[in-house]
Amino acid sequence: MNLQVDEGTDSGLILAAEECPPESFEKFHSFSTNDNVIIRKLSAHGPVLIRGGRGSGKSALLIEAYRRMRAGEAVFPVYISLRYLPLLQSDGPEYIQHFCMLLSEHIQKELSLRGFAEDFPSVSEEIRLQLGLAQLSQNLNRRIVLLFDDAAHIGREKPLEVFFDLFRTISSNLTSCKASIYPGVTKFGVRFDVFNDSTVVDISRSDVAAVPDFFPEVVRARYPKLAQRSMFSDRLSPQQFANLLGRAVVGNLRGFILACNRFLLQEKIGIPEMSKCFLEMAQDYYWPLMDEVAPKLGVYEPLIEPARELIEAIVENSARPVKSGQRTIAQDRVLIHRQLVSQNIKLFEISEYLGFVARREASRAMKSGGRGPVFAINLCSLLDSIPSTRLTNEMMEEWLSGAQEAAEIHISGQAFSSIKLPALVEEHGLAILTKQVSVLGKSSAYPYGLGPNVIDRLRNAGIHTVGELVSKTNEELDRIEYIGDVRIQQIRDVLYQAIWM
Amino acid sequence: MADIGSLLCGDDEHEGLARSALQQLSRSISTFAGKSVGFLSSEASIDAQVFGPFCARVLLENGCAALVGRLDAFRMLYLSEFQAQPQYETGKRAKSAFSWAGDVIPEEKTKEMWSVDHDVPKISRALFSSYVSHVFWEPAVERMLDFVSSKTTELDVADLLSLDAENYINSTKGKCLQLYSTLSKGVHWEFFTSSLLFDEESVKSMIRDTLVLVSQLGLISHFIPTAHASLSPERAFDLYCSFRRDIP
Repeated sequence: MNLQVDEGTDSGLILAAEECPPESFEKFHSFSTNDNVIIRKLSAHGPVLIRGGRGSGKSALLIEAYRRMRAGEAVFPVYISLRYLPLLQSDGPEYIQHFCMLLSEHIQKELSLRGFAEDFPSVSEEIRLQLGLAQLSQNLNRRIVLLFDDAAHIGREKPLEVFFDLFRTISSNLTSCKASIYPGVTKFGVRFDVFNDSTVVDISRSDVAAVPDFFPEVVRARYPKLAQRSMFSDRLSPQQFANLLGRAVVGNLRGFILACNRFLLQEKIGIPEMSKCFLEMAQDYYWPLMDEVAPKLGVYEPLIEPARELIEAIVENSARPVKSGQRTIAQDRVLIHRQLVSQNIKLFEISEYLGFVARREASRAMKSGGRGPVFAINLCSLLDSIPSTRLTNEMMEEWLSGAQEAAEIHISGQAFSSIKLPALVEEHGLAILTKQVSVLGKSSAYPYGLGPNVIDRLRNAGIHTVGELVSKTNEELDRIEYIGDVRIQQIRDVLYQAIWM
Repeated sequence: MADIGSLLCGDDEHEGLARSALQQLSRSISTFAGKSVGFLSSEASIDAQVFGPFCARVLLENGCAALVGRLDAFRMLYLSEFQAQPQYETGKRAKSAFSWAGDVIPEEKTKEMWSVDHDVPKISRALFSSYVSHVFWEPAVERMLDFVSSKTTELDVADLLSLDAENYINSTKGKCLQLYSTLSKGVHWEFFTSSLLFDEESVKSMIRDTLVLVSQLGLISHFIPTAHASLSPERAFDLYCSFRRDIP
């Protein structure tokens, strides 16, 4: 998380908890009662998988657990981000080797940082890693908690099976493994039984009626100005502002912070300003997100268009009664027949991952027969599809209450009939790495992308693809004329956004 | 504290042996749940560290035993009768005694559920067997979801509404196995290395997981139409909400 709002330098990475300077972490993060339960679980004995969409706050929870454990004396915690390119590019024994090396380096770094006299060997085999961890725990007289962030990349599933195998192997009474994963992670491999070898904790914040204090608390911590009553019109309270924004982005913290940023220069905030924010978010954040994420989806890249159609169909289904005058307010939740969901499961996972919808209930009986899950719909997209495209006080109150009846999409309906699922090829790595460097240029997907001059200079230096660029060291880039420290950092930031989830 | 004993054991309006067996379990469940909630709500203490895992394990075992009894009345009545016989000696292990592995956790070897070749004794009636899951728990979870989603309550019921009927028992069985094993380590004091001793975070996390797990099982059991001594859905949900409000 970059705390500056200087658009020229934040490179769109202003929202990641792992980027927050440690000394500012506490000041800018707040945790609900439920978060504290999760943090305690992340600190306790036992393996845990923490599951949530992009920007749902998984990293913040892992880091906070790490911080709290560091303050105590019973545990030796290690936080490690697995955003490490060789892991993304390898599989099988090669993955194991990179993983063991990376983890042992991090453990040694943590030991040095904490001033412990013990050394941890640099190992490349899991058996030596296991032995090293057992020995370390005995020597420190503490149990060990390993917090793996970004363990799953939605576009690369094969190495995940190896990861879960390692997760299971190194978990013991002395070493507890915790990892963050996405809702779409379903391939756990043959040795890992997700129900017996871990406890899965889901992060969901889309129901602001059930937890009405969380988003107002985040605003008070991060944006004190936006928590002042004087900032708002008579018809909008700071509490409503925070909860409506939280509900609009279906509880996604990254989307929430981006939305809040848009109000920082406002002098007064009322319902028209919220309306404007929703519409702008729909146009310049959510739809471009599809383009940004597409090349990171690996084998699932061809599903991005069907996912777009799916979202449009869901939103249209909720907006249609308003268009035809049957309703005055669009339904903000939708109950979809489970057969339709299972037929299009990856599309739903991508939509959830991007924050267009959030699963609210696992299963509910439909009026028209059958059952299915209930999804909360992103209010930015919903408002954008209503003819008036104008938020009203009545909409705000109804959407905040959570009492509105959910729309339904039944198996016999035609809502998804035009969606065609393309055949998927074998997993072959991420498409983004083979794309031309020009894809990193300024665009709606990369608002802080590279200028044409920089792209030309990279090409002239023989760097044509994103894969070639990412493999260059800072020293190699520095040798290119007119590319210095600032540009190198910009290149690294854009690459980070382009490759990682 | 809310009546968690009734949430797991049901009403006590039916006369007979089952009533006294369930009343006894209900008292035990309420006592140990009360102690567990107390440890969870208090500051860290030696008592919590020493007795917390024990209380949570008794709650887990007794809660599951009550559910076995309500779902399979024959098993409960057999155990009640047998324990009253002179052949039942407290110092001697009875092969037919209630056991965690067998009555709660199934010993299922075959993956194929439906086959004309399956013998009756091999069709497990354990609380978390695939058959009991199929005939009792899955439909009950769906009924519970429909009931709860139609109610308005100040309690955050997101965790209940996210339960997936199809995976509920697999997931609950996995949690029970992990909890039982970990809580037992707190009971048996089998640690010879102090780095393994349970700290506050671990003890509280285990206690809370146990309380949530047994209360959810208790609630869902009242949506099984053939279960003995079931409460009305309204009463069960009220008890569940009151109990969950006490869990920090």
